[in-house]
Amino acid sequence: VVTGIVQEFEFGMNWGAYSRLVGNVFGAPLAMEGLGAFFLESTFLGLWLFGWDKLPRRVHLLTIWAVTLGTALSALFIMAANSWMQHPVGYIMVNGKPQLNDIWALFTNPVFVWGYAKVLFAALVTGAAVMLAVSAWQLRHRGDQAVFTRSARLALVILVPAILFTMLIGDELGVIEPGTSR
Amino acid sequence: VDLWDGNEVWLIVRGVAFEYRGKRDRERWRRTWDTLLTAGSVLAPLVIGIALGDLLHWTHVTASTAFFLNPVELLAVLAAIAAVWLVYDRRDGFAFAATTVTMAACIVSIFTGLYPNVMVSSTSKAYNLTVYNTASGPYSLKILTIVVIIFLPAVLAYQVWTYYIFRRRVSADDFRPASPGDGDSLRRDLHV
Repeated sequence: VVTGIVQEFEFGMNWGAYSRLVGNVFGAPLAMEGLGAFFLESTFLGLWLFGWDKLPRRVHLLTIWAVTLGTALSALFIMAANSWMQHPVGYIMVNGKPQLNDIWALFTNPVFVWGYAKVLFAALVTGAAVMLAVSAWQLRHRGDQAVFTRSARLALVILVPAILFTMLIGDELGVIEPGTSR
Repeated sequence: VDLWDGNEVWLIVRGVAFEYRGKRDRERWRRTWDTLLTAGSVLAPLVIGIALGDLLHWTHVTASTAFFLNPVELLAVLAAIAAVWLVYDRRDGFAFAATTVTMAACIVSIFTGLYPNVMVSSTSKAYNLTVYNTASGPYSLKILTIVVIIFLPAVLAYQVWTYYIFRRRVSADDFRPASPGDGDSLRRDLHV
């Protein structure tokens, strides 16, 4: 949530010339990200962090799933914007500036479809690796055996296939991405 | 814009302070984050105020308009006074409503006052940012209107819900040891 704030401002300050040129296309997914994902993520993170004593247990669990949904949606819109940079689609040039004319093309952009899948699996790899590392440290330092055996097992079950899929999807992305080849 | 970006520092300090404060059980660590949290919370609205004031600085106010408040501005002033009075009267709900009205009225009056400009240039009128030269193309605007119609009610709904959940004032009694992240809650989450 916090790193996102920094990036929004970098678009304006570090990459102002870029934003002025492509704002018409690039702004659309960013605006969607702000409204559809950023608010969802940050609001429910607050509810999850501070709502333990105020929410029923199942509702509290739902709030972290809402954060997860918000994060995944956030990645979706950001990757759509980024994929347009790698492989521009769905626009026409008006007075030397690209102007959006097909939003659907942004979300069916092959670079986006594969790139987004890769980001999701890479996120699972990162999360599972951190969870496994914490569990391993706890098991070695005589933490709660029952809890951390279970969390280590869960992390491994996610980690191994996630690594495999990240590699396979990454390979596919490398094949389709313009200017790169196997 | 520099000012605005500087303000981000305080928003970010404030954002991470919530989380980092509880990370180490050291008196100095906690005190430091408490100080930074307070500083961030005080400075963020102050700098936002300066930034918004700056937006209006380059617009020319004529003597005839300077002394008369338009209805929206009058509403902002009255709501602010009402908020202070309601806080002293310990009517938290109404005080909250009054500050909400103050903020909404300020934003409305600033941008209706600037219209059709969005940001007035300090050097030349030719560089003013207006609603016409900053708007996206019609197609983008149509798409975003649909997106707003879909998402805005949902955002408003869960924001209202959040405020409702956290409606009580926080007091020292609220801090019991059990909170998410400790061993017990992790155990419950994993059903072991």
